[in-house]
Amino acid sequence: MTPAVAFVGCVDHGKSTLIGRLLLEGGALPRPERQRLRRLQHQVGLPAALANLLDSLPVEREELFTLDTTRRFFGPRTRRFALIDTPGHQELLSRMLSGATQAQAAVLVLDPTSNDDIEPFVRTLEFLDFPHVGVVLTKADLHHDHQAQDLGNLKVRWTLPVSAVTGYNVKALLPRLQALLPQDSAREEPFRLLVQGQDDDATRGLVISGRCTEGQQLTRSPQGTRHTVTQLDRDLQEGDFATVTLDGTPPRRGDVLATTPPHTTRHPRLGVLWLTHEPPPEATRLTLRCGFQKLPARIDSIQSSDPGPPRRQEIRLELDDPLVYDPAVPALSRAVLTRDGAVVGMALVRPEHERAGLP
Amino acid sequence: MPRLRRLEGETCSLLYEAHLRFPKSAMLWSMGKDSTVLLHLARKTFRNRLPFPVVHIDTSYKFPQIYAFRERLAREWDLPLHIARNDPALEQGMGPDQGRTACCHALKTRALLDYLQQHELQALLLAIRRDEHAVRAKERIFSPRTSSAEWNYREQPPELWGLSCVEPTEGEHVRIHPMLEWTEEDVWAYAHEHRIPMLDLYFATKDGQRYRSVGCQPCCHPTAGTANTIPAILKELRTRREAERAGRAQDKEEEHAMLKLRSLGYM
Repeated sequence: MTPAVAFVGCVDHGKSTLIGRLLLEGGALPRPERQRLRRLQHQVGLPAALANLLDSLPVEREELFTLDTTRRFFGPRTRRFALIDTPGHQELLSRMLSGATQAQAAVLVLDPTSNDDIEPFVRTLEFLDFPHVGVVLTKADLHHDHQAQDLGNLKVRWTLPVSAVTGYNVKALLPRLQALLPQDSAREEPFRLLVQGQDDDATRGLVISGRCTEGQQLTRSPQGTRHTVTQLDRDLQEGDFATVTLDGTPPRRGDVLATTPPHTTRHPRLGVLWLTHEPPPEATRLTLRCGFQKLPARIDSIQSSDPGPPRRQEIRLELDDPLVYDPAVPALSRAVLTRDGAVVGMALVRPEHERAGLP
Repeated sequence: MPRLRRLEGETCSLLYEAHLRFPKSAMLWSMGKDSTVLLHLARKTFRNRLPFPVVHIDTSYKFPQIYAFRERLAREWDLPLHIARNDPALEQGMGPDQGRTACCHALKTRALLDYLQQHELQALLLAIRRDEHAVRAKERIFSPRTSSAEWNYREQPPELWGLSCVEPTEGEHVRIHPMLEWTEEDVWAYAHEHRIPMLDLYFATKDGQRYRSVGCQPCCHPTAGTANTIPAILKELRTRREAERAGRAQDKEEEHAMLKLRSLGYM
């Protein structure tokens, strides 16, 4: 995935308009979109015309709002990143999260002239646990505020007043967006491969970290068995789709092969953000999906609740089969909960030693 | 890590996932640059033995070069090639002179829907990219279509942390888009790096014209350009601000043409 910044905030605080302006200033709009912008500007005004570059579904264009998330690429190929627009209506939370969970950093977009309740967005960003968040105070042509409201425990890296209409500070925003994105770490991570499936003669899966060459010893989780890589068609690195031949019993879908094995548990502790109207009660049966693991689960206990919005809980699950997890590794801690095939919540697997309770 | 290698890994993993979760699927191949790169990636994923058919929706109005290219690669790559064509409509004289939208609908959408139904497919793999069009920037990787193959864009399912929970549903199919994250430049750079054969229509002729996006002959127009190698195309892309599909008549006719076609089951 291309590194991405998600723009999150209340409806009509100017997220789509701001991204439209960034695309325009950054030269990321092909000619027909620029022509459309000029034409539309006279009909609906500049803010709506800019937003309309992102809002491309007919219902969005006709009713001038964002229904679903958009992902637009920005910048030259070698330093490309994506700008993710998200809807600001509370009822569109799952669509907002479909966008925000694809990002490595987030910008909270705030219109300081409005009295809207921004707390649900602050709480959602807290839950998603972005290492850095930027705050943009929009509509700076209409106010002189330079202070954001109470932003809870968000790790705010910078606050910048911007006007998408006049272009004020839009150029200054660009390097700040890039600075929010994590840099490639020089630290060598252990080799970890998420097993997707087993062909007749080889294990297939996705390398989420580290490197691997022939002869490497790997531990298969959750079984804890040791295997040697007997054949590879090329040396593996992070991001590769792998074809690996191992000695011993072939792994199964959902297993993890690693040089340093992750944790396993039948009683994972989870922070959950529920997408349903009511959080399900204790003893409810669900399915936990994490990477390629798909495990039948039962809510064992609810440790704390925040009625929200958004509705958040710290819970403990009981699983029939062990979960392989590592709270420090996104692909081994980010999970989805489904019930009868429908997504009901998103979850983060918590470390076992951490004190229970909401952050 | 290099961008192209990461994109390759991501797409291959999605192709493998698509096949595991939707065993009855097919991949669309237009012989254009994107679907030819996707085909190359599928061969890589499945180690040269594709577990699903490769389908060409043949309107019969394609460029002669496209047919020649199809036959050549089908032979060289030993592809399980299926050709889906709406012969009844062609026999009744359907063509671009009957109106472009009507023609696209009969010869592309109808031909595809008939094929889907005939083979009872659970999923279709398509090489669309987010940067092609504003509407495509709204797509999910796993995108369910209704029983009449419509895209219900008002009710797209959540894709949280990039994990899709969409499952096969009786009478419906899922569009799977393993290349959404690629850009036009990525496709060319990858094709160059891996020496993937490409249609010669993309390369400039002596009179300074080339195609940037290729479809049916009557509805595609070349753009001015002197690029006759992939590095020259990449150089051209870095300086141009034209839309990639500017030469495609179906995108020009009306603002929502693309979306209308897509919501009706077009690819």
